[in-house]
Amino acid sequence: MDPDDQALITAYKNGDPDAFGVLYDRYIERIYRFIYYKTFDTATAEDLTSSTFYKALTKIDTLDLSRGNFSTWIYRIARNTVIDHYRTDREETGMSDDVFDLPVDDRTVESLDARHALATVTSYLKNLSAEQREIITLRIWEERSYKEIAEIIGGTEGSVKMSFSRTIRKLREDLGPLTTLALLMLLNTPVTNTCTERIL
Amino acid sequence: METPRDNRITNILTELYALDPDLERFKDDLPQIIATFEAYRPEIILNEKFVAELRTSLLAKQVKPLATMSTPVASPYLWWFSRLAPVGVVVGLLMIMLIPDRTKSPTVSTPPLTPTVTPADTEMEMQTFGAPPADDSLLFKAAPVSEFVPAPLEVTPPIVGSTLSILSLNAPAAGWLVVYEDRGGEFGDILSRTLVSAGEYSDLQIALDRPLRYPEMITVVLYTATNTEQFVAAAEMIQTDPQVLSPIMITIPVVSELELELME
Repeated sequence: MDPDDQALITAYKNGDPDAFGVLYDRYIERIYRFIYYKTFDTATAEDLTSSTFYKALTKIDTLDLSRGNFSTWIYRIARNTVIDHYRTDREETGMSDDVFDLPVDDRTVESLDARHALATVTSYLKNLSAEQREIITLRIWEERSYKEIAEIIGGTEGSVKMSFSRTIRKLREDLGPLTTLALLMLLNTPVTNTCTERIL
Repeated sequence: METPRDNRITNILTELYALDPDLERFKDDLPQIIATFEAYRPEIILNEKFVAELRTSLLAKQVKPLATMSTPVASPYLWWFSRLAPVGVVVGLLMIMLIPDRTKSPTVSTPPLTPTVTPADTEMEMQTFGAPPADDSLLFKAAPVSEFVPAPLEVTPPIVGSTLSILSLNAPAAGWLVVYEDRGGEFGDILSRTLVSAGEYSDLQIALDRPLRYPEMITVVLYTATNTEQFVAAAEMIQTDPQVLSPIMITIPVVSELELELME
């Protein structure tokens, strides 16, 4: 059985430098994905993912496992890294710190399919608050539990649940009743095959 | 048969209905809304080269203890003398060559060629701050040449560039090796921070955030935990809590290439 995160952190603090490599392998994809969903830019996501792991390596000895686990801790670092990035960007360029405010083409999404998919997602999400979007993506795309989401974004589990519920209700009201036929028509846009196969 | 994806959507809906039973009014639409969002999750393809390079870079930031003891050095001062002795020989030879006839008095007053770096100039300023460590071996001590005293931290003369060489390091416990700018005896910006496991090290190459300049002073500090339960890793925090750790500090000037050549 693979050692759990806590065992790896304990091993690392006791001088096993390879333990951090195992944690890295375990989290690199999740953290990259989490950051990508907030930036929609490969180069930026790679830069911020690097920063996140360097910060984690530098501060891992400050991690108090009695107050939280490694997973939510590194997600929090990633989240703050993205916030700092946009804050700096906004101060330097005057640009918005919300990637959902940008036109799809400005997000340097590489493929046409990806741009279509992103445009569709954006049309759903842009009317939500940044926090609502974050909860939706963490819950549905990242499959994080409410408790984990609360620890990542700062709040209570109850408030996250409530926010998610209200967001789903708002989406239902915005979209109106969706018949299967309407859904299939909606999906008849040139999104990736993987997307289409999944929904069908 | 339900797929894992179906299960995830079912779980989300079950939680939603439990939280807000009124949402069951939309039970024909909500599964499709959730499924739509799930389906439109952007595809992520991780760049394997990026992943591998970042992994290598991160692991290189950590320093592994040597399996064997490094070559013992009798004293930190002896290290300097051992490197300055050849300088004296070279200077002597140069003086012989520069004075063609030593039987005559020189008509031109040429200042004698002397080492630009003397033991006094290059003597490392060693300090400790905060509570003295319980383990006396952590303190730098001047010792007779014949007495072997393992040096906890020895820094090779730093030169202009982005790398600092640590000749030897003896970390009695896990800690941090931090390089600071020295601003007139005060800590300046942190130039490097390296996590160190307990153990003996030699010939470490520490990457700095910016190149060293000449002339300037830097301070190298080894922070180790006297109480691992209280170990705070961030260097900024360590400075504010000297009771927790036993820092060993060396302030040393950056040397020019000429000085380095003379020393070698």
